[in-house]
Amino acid sequence: MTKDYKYIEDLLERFFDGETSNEEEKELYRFFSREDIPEHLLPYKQVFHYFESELEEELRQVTEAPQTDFRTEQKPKKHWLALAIGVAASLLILLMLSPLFMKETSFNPYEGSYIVRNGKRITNPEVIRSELEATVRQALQEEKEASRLFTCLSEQEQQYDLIEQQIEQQQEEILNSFSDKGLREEVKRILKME
Amino acid sequence: MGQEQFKQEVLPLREQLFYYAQRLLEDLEDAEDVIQEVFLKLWYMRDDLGSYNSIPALSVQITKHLCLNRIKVRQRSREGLDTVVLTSQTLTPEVQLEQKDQVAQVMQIIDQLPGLQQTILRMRHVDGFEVEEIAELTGSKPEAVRMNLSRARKKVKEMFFKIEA
Repeated sequence: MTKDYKYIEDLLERFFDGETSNEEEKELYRFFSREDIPEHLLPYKQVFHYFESELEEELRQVTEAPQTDFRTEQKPKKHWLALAIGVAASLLILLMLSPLFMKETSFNPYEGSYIVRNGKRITNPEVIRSELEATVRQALQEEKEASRLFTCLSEQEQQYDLIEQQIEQQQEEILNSFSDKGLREEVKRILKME
Repeated sequence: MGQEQFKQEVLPLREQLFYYAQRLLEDLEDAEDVIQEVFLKLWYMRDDLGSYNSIPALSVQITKHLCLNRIKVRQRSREGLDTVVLTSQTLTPEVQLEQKDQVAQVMQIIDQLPGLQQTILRMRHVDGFEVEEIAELTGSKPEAVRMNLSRARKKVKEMFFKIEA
C-alpha cells in the first residue's frame, strides 16, 4: 500500500516538474478519480480533476478572447488600407480637376496690364493679349523689312566703292600718260578740284 | 498547414526572431519565453497562415507585441503593490462593480496564467502533445518548455490550495 503511494508521490513530483509523459499522467488521473484516496493526497484530487477535464472547458471559453485579439490586430491594417485608398482617390480627383484650377491660378504675364483706346481703359486680358500679340507681330515684320533694306543699302555701297576705285585707277592712268612733269601737276590739280 | 510544412517554413525564422526579441528585452530567458509563445501562437494559427501576405512579417509583429507586453508587465511589477492599492481606492463605483464581476470570472484559473503557460497547458493537456513535440514546434530545448510547463502546473496547484485554505 505505502509502496503504491510512494510511486504516486514520485509521479506527482515529476508531474509538477513537467517531466511526466501522457501515459504517466493518465495513471495519475486514474488514481485521483478513485474513492479511496489517502488523506495527505486528497487536496490533489481537485487539481487533477482540473487538468483532466476542467481545463479544456475553461480554454474553450477563454480562446474566444485571443481570437478576437487577432481580429483587432488586423483591424488597423484595414483601416490603414481604407485611408490609403481615400488618399489615392482624392489625389486622383484633384489631378482631374486641376486643369480647371490651372486657368484661374496659373501665372499670367499680362496680369494688371491695360490699354487706353479712344480714352477708354481696357483691362480685359484677352483683348490686351490679342492687341499685344498683333503689335509684336507688326514690330517683327518691320524689323525684318528694316534688315532687308539694310542689306540692299550695303550692296549698293559696295557697288559705289567699286566705281570709286575704278575712277581712281583711270585718273592714275591719265596722269601717267603725261610725260611732262609740270603738265602732270597741272592735270592733277584739275582732277582733285572735281 | 501541416506539422512538417510548419517546421520547414515557419521554424527557420526562429534565429532572426530570437535575435530581435533579445534586443528588445535585453534578457535571454525572457527572449526564449517570448519565442516559444510566438511559435505556439503561429502553430495555432497554422490554418490561417496562408491568408497573410508575409509570414515573416506577421511573426515579427507577433514577436514585437509579445515583447512589449512583457516589458509592460515588468514595469507594472516594478511599480509595486502600494500604487496598485492607491489606485484601487480612487475607483468609481461603476468600476468597482465591474471588478467584482471580474473577480467572479477570475475563478477561472487559466486566465490568471501568462499566455505562454496557458498555451503550453493547452497543448499538453487538451491537444495531447508531449514536451518533446512542443519543443520541436517552437525550436526550443525540451528543458525550456518543461520549465514553463512546470511553472504553470505549480501555479494551478497553488491556486487550488489557496482556495482550499
